[in-house]
Amino acid sequence: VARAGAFALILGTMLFLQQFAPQVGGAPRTAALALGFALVAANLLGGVAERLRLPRLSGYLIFGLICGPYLFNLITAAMARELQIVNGVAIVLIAFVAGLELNVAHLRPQLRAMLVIGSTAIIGTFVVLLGLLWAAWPFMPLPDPGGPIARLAVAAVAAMLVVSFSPTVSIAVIADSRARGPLTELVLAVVVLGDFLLILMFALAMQLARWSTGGAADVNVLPQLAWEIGGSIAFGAIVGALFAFYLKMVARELTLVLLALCVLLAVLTPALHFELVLTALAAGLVVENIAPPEGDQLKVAVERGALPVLIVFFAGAGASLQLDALAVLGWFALAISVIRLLLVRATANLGVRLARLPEMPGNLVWMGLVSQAGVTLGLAAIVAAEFPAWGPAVQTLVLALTGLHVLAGPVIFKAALARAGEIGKLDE
Amino acid sequence: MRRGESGEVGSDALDARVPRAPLSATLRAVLPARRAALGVGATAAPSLMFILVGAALGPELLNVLSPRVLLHLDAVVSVALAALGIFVGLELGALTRSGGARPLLLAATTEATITIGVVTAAMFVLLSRWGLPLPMEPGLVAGILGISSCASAAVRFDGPVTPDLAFASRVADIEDVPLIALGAVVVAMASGSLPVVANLLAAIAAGAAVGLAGVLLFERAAGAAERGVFVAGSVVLLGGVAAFLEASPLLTGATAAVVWVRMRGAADQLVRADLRKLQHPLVALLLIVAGASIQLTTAALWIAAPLVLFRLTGKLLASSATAAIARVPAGVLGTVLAPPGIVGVALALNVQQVAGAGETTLVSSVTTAAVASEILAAALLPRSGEAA
Repeated sequence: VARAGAFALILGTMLFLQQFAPQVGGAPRTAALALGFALVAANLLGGVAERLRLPRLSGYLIFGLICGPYLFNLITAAMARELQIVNGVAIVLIAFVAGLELNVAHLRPQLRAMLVIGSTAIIGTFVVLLGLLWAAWPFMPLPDPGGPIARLAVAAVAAMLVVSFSPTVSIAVIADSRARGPLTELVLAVVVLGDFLLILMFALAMQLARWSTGGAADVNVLPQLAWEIGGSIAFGAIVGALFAFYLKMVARELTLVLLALCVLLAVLTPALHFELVLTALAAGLVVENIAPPEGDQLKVAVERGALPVLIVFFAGAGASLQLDALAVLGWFALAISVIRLLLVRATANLGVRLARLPEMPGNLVWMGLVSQAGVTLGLAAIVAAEFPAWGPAVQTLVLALTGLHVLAGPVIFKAALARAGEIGKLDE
Repeated sequence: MRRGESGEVGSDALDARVPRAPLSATLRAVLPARRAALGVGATAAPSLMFILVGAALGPELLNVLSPRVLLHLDAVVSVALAALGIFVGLELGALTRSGGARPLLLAATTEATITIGVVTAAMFVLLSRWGLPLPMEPGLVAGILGISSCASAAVRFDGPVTPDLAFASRVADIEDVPLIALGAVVVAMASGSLPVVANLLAAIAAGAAVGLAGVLLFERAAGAAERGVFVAGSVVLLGGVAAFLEASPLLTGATAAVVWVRMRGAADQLVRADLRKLQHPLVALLLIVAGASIQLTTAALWIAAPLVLFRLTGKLLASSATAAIARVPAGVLGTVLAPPGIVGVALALNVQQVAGAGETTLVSSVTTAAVASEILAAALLPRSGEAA
């Protein structure tokens, strides 16, 4: 009752402000308002989601969706953009936490199995989707790229975007559920591997699209990829080593230092053309595997620092969901989503069989690969900008699919973690 | 009286809590340690360091904090202002709850009124005659300068604390209350987006609503991490509400804090404990932004120079008048109240926010005057044995 009362007061304040002074407050003046509202109110809705046995972050997403520009407009489009300021920091923090959970010595015996499952799921789904999209393209509400080769290239780009999943969301669900166990480790490894493959395959698909649509192919693609992947890992490892050194020698104000580190990585990594998730993951891996922290200091710091960042990140994601894209493509997007879901399930289960892993929890791995979020949207924006003839249509499709998968993915994955009995095991 | 670990008295120890070393030691060596007469720290203003760092990083010198970056920091400044308001409000609430507040409130109000009156009147006369290009009416500018001059730094004691010193330091804390109240009025006038009364009422109502929500949430949070989110969210919301209304975040923060103190429960203690972690970075950032906002234009310098003198005059006059009421030696009051406080700079920043980006005359003159006043206070105050 107290929480409901507090929510009503905060909501009332927001409504009062919008009614009382709608003419006041330009864009930069609304950032703190959106941030404060999201921190308090989204956290309260996260608690409601938890009571309903949903992931807390689904509560944050739903908060963003309800209060966002497409429904109640308490968080306007400008405010939603301002909430996304924390995106880079959130992605870094989430990946860093994932790195802290990956103990190489512990994972080594299962490494081959993880590689088999990950590559089977991603490449298998991609190949089947590519074929389906290529064959069905003339019948879909999407512009004709012209000729079967061009259609193949465009279908490859679209299939890549549709296959991609969000390591950020999957890792966030794990962190949110305080999960630990075989399924958690499998999904963590698969989403990390998926991030590597996504970078590689997207670069190759874009090359094919450039070549087939008459553009100039980028001859530096391989060195660029090597720089992006190798550089990310090296840079992350250096930062991780520095942080481990700080942990050993100073170990004070860890929450602030951790957040400062995330801000630094979020700013520097894109400037150096590295990949955020890989860099932060490498940093976390180095800390965990080279100089593992003693005691609970880092754990407490991560808990304190991660919660507000996750709330703002997912509330912003919810507020930025483009429901109009879903309205435009509706049933068509839903059909593709169902096909993707079936394919991910079938190929991941095939991978489990090939890796000769036990069906439980192997057959639940696919449920951790449903989510899609910011990275996919970013890639879709690149496609739309580079291929104005058909790119925007593919972007709209991806926007619609992401809207569905970012909402459904965490719920499905948390259900899998519950079935595997791994929720809350991190605290035991 | 509450005495902190490092000998600080009063919860407005924002100035004192900002890390001191190594600048403090350096300044002690450079500036004469005249305040040692009273066992008061030779320099109470580590804030000086952050203002100077900000000035070095700002657009005028290194341009690390470019105008674009400063615009992005606008939201954080609002939050920092709200946090300052909360600390003042917590102090006021605790004072009124403990009883026996009347003499202190009377002394602080008298002192603040005289200082503000002297500085405002003198600056108004000067500004009206000079015809400097000003962003607002000369009367309003003079009022803002007068109100911001009223703030005094928190005191750090190096030696034993006598009752007179303790009383004087509490006056330094509590005089922020009239500053915030009058500051909210001038901010509303400078904004002009809403009628002044509507602006003030909206800020108070929103501050009270967020305060009430905090009372309902802080003690019921599931663990320290969630409580941290509620506290941080409330502070950010208080800053955000004020920024949206173009009102004073100091007022919204102080209002919420009074609610936290006056309502049953431990909301005030929880906020105090949680905010302590954010306090250093927020206050340091506020001062760095203030420093970076300094543009040494002719107008700013022409305003800053007399402001320093009028402020010192006002403080000494006010100390004499207040000494009679409070039965505290005027020398003690003058020594404690002369160094400028952070809240004055904060008010100038707030006015700059609502007056629009690019308007830096006020914040430049107030910040420059604050630095100069601190140096002046350290240099001119009585030597050993003279004060008491």
